[in-house]
Order: sequence, then structure tokens, then C-alpha cells
Amino acid sequence: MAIGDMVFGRSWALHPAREADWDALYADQLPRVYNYFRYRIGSGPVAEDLTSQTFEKAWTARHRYRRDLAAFSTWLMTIARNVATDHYRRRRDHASLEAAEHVAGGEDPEALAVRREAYERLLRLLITLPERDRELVSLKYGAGLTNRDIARQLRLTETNVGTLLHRVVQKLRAGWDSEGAS
Amino acid sequence: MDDRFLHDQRREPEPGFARSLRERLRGLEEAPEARGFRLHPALITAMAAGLVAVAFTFPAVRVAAQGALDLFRVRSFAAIEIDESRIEQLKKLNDEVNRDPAMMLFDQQQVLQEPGPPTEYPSADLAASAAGLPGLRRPQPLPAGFNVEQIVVSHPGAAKLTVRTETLRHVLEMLDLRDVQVPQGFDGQSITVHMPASVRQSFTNGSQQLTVLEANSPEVTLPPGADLQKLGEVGLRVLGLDRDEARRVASSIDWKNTLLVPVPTSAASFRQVEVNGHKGLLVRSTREMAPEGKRGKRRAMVMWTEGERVLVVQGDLAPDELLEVAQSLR
Repeated sequence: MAIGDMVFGRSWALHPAREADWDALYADQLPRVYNYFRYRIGSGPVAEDLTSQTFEKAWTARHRYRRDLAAFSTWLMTIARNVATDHYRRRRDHASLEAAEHVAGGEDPEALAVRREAYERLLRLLITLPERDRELVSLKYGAGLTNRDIARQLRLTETNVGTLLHRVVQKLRAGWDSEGAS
Repeated sequence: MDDRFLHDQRREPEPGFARSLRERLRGLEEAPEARGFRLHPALITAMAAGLVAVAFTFPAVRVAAQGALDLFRVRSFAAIEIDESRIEQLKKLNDEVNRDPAMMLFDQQQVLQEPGPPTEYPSADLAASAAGLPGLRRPQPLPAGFNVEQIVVSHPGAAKLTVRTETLRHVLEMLDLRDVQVPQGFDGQSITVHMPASVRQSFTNGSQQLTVLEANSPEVTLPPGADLQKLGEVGLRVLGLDRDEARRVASSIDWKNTLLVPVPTSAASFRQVEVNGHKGLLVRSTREMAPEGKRGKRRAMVMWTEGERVLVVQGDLAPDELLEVAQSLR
């Protein structure tokens, strides 16, 4: 990113310039944010509602990032995390998951049932994780962030993120096997 | 259960949901940019981008530096050079906080007066009347080929902010400024920022842009008792000055009336100018700004004060042309 873009992009925000490709940004970021909430909160209307909240907040202040879409993406995910935190705080119910997976049309019902079952089984395991572990899984596998990006979001070192994720996946695997055996 | 399984549980959002959300966002894109009352953008608007560059952390520290004063008003601008690497550091810090950059120091914002969204007016006279800015300046004459594009009034707002030194300590730590001490007794104190209405007149000739911004000076009411010079010194360290230089500059600044404008040395240059007898500052980008797929342009801005009024002229004209426009304001 050119410094000039950053510097004058902000001060020149007074101009109604529209250089950013918001369509492309939206197409790129929507699945990330939506899936972050699917892993963090659960699926269904609530994940869609929180996704909407996130984008609307970001779009309202988009002029701050008009010329710096990389920073915008990072910022968007930070907003998503805050929206998730607010959601939990409002509900004061950290233990329950939201509505079950929406059924997408046009898919083989049997395959869909298998997929839905796997996802719901994963959600049941995620609910047992401590907040930070679930956040890690949501950022890594839901939002598809790199360990470096996660480290920045959570203010951890990249190595630390890798180690923690490894442990969380082990924990999930143990739970998965144990649930399958019972 | 492995990485692949965990990745495979991702799903595309429902097309209907994706479409309807995109439509709602498009509505936001078409609406005028509403600027909530946040210190940093508000300052940018009312002081007309006097806080050029990465004044992310700095405005907060700068405003806090008025702590020993009853009132701060902008009477003059002064530029200070800032290194590109420090800009990047501040930028990253800003991204992390997901809040108004000023919130790196402040907490518990209380909006005293909500400015609401800016309003577009069909003429400068109507805008001046609405903003309470009689005698609003306009370029006379307009540069050849330029026409009025938009005249917008940003309404007045006010907010009360509470100082949070713990956050500043975090910023200092992140910048590895371990020898900098945050002055005692400042935590939990409040400042009040009053932003008067401003008028932004935008002009274009089809390929170039020109903006004239005018407002009365914002006022910052602060608690007494803070070590003003020391706070200024902390702000200068945040901007990248070394200890000795920060001390020297802090002691030479009239903190009561001067708004510092950080200028990145690698991307912009500045010089002092005179606009109809008033001292001002001209900042110009030394790199072309080239948004993707478009030809880049160099930009410049001139900022100065006339009594209570703060004025800024900015655009992608040559600096001397921009200065001529500034001098033509009547």
C-alpha cells in the first residue's frame, strides 16, 4: 500500500471518490464473515443477522478504508468479533447454539443430511470449548484466516496461535471419537 | 476429524440472503457519508484535514496535551515530519483497535450533541446560512473550466471523552517506547470537544477536483493541571521523534493554539505559505496516488486560519495553482 494512499486517502476522504470495488470486496468477504459466525455462534437466521450487522457497520464507515481494502478486511473481521461478543453479552447464554443449519435447495437430500449431521455434531463439540478456543477455530476454519492474521486479531504470537490450534483440534478429535464410540 | 474436515464445514451464504444484504449495502454506498461524532473524523472535517497523515494516535495525544488549558482553539498549523515505518506501526495499531483512533487514549465517549448526517445545499449562501458562517469564502473567480459539484454542511456536534492512560501505555508498549512515562493524574479526567458546523464546497472540471472547506475552530475544553509540555512530548515520541528532539520541539510549540500536522517524509512535503497576509501550511503529496486501474494524481492542500475561521483548500491541482485558489477566496 502506498503511503500516499493511506495518508491522502484519509484526508481526501472529503472527496466523493469511489475507487474501491465494493462488489468484489463484498463477494470476497461475505463467506468469511458468514462462516465465522457459523462456527462461532451457529447457523441459521442468527448467523445471517450478525453477518448483516457486521457489514452494515463496516459500510457505514467505509470512507475510512476507501483506498485501503487490505486494512478494511482486517477491520471487518474485528467488527465481526465485536458483534459476536455483543451478541453473547446480550443473550448471556454462552452455552447454547443457534438454530440448525439452513437447508440449501438443489442438493441430494441424503448427502445434505450427512453434511448437516456432521456440522451439527461439530457444533456440539465447539460448544464445549472455552471461548478463546472456539474463537480460534472460528477464525481459522470459519473465516479462513492465516495464523498470522489470527495472531494480529488475538494479540498472540503466530507460533502461539499454531500451538493453540493444534491443541484445540486434538481436543475436538478426541471429543469426536468419544462421541462416535458412545 | 482433521483440518480438512474442519474447513469442509464452511458453506456459501444463501444466495437470497447475499443478494438482499448487498442491496442494503448499496443503499448505504449511495447515501451521503454519515459521520458519527467521533473525534478524529470530526477534527478532519472541521479542521479541514489539518490532521493529515497518520494522525491516528497523535490527535488524541495532542488534544490531551491541552490538559493544562481551559480551552484550545486552532490558530495556526505547523508541520512535523514523520517516518514511514512509524506510519506503518501506527496504522497497524489503529487496525487492531477497531475504534476511533482517538480511542487509543480516550474511553467512555458521551455524545452531547449528535451532528446527524451532512446536508447538501443548492447554493453557498444557503449553506453559509445553515452553518452560521456569514461571509463564507468562495473562489473568485473559479479556475477556468471548474463548476460547483456539491455544497455540503456538516452540522455541529459535541462529545465528552474520558482519558484512559492504560490504553496509551499499551500504544507506547507496542511502539517499544519503554522509556516514555505517561504523566500521572490524568487517568479518568474528561475533555469536551465542540465541533462547529462546517461547509464543504466541491468543484470539478471533469478531470480535476477542488474542495474548499470552512469552519469556525473547534473548541476543546480540558481539565486543568496536566503537564502540557510533557504530554506534547509523549505525543511527539509516538510520532517517532527521538527523546531529545521531542523535548526540544515540545518546548518550542505554542500548544494552546497550534495544530500539528504530521507529514510523512517519504510521501509528502510541506512548506509555509502566506494566504492574503495569513500564515498557512501547504502540504503536497510527492507520490502519485494511483487507485487500481486508474491514473494516479498528486494532491495538495493549503490550510490556514483567519481569526476564528479555519480554512482549507485541497485538490489535485498543482500546488501553486491551489495556492492561487486559496488567495482568491473572498
